[in-house]
Amino acid sequence: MTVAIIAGVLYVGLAQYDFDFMRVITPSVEMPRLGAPSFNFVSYVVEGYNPLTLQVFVKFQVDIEVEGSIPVTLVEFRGEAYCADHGVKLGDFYLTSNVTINGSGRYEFPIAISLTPQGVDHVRRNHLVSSDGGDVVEVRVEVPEVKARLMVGSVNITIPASSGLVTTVRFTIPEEGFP
Amino acid sequence: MTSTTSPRPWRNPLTLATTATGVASGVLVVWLAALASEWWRINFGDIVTVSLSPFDYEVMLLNQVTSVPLIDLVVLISRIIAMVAGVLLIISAVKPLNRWSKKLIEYSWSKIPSYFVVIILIALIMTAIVSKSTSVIEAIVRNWFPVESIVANGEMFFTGSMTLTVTAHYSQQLVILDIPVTASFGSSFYVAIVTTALCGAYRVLSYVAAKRFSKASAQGQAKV
Repeated sequence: MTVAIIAGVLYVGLAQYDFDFMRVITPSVEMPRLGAPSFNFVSYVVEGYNPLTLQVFVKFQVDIEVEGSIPVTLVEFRGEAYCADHGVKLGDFYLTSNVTINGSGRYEFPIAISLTPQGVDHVRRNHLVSSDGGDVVEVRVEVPEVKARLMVGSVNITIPASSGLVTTVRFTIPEEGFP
Repeated sequence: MTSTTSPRPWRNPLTLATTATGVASGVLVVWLAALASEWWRINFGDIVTVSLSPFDYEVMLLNQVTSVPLIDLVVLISRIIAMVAGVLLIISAVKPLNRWSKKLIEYSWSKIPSYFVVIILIALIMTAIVSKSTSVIEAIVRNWFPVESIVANGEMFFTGSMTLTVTAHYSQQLVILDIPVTASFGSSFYVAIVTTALCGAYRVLSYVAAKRFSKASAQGQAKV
C-alpha cells in the first residue's frame, strides 16, 4: 500500500512539473540580493547646542538607495572628528536614537556632536570668519573611521571600523546663538 | 463448549485495553497528520526559520516562505500514509484478535514511531552541525555571502540557544555578525511521543492478547 501511495503521489506531482526533475528540486524563492547601499547626503539641521557640555545636536538628511526591502536598524554610529588641516581633535559624534532603514528613501539621522574645549578654541581661532550675517565657521572635518552597529531581525551586525571621510562643514552662527 | 472454557475475547480486560489503546493511537495518528503542525523548529536570528514535522515543513528566509517541490511531495506522501495508518489502526482495534487485524496492525503501528525517529535524527544532525561543524554552514553560506569564518558560541542538543559569530568581508569592509540560534520542540512533538508510546503499546498488547487467546482456545479445545 505504501508503495502505491508513494508511486501515485510522485507520478501526479512530477507530472505537474512536466517530469522536469530540476524544477522539482529547485527552491521556489530566489535568494535576496545583498547589494551595497549607496548614500547621498542631502542636508543637515542644527537642532540645539548645550554650551555647558559643548554638545551640538544635528539632524542629517541622507538619501539611501538599497536593493530589496530588508528592514535594517542602525543602533550605533560613532566616531571622532578632526580638523583635516591642523589635526586637532574637534570632538566625538554618535547617533542619539535608532534609525530603521526599510528600502530606498530619505532618512534622518539624529547625531550628537560632543565638542572638545580645545576643538572649540581651535575653531574660534582658526576657522571663524566674521561677516555681516554673523560669524561663519568653515572647517574641513576629517573622520578617520566610523564604528557602526546594525540589527537585521535579531542579528547583530558590527562594523568595527569603516573607512573615514573628509568633508567641509560651513555654517553661520546666528547672533542670538543656537536655539 | 461452555462459557467457562470459552475465551470470549471481547469481554477480556486485556482485549478491551488493546482496543482502547488501538483506537486512541489511531485517533492521535490521524490528528497529528491532519494538524501537520511543527514538531521541531530552528531559528537563525529571525532571518532563517526552519519548522519541521513529518507532514509539513516551512523554511522562512527573510520573511519569504521558500519551498522545494520534491520535499512538498515527500511530506504529502508521508501525510497520506499516516492518515491511512491511523484509520487502519482504528479499524484494527475493533477486533484486534482477528487475522486481518493483525495485518493492519503490522502495517500501521510503526508509522508514527518511524517518523518520530526521523525527526529526532534531523534535529540531532542539524543541532550537531550548528554546534560542532560550522564548516558545513560556511560552505552553504559562501554561495551567497563572502564568509571568512563562523564560530559557534555555546552548544545545542535538539533544543536550546546559542550564538553563531560570523566574520565576513562585505564591500571591502570587515563585518561581524552575531546570530542568535534557537531550537525548540513544538507541542505536536509531545503528542507524537504519547502517540509513539501508544502505538508501541498497542502492538505489544495485541500480540500478547493474541497469544493468550490462541493459548486459551487451544486449552478449551483440549478440554472438549
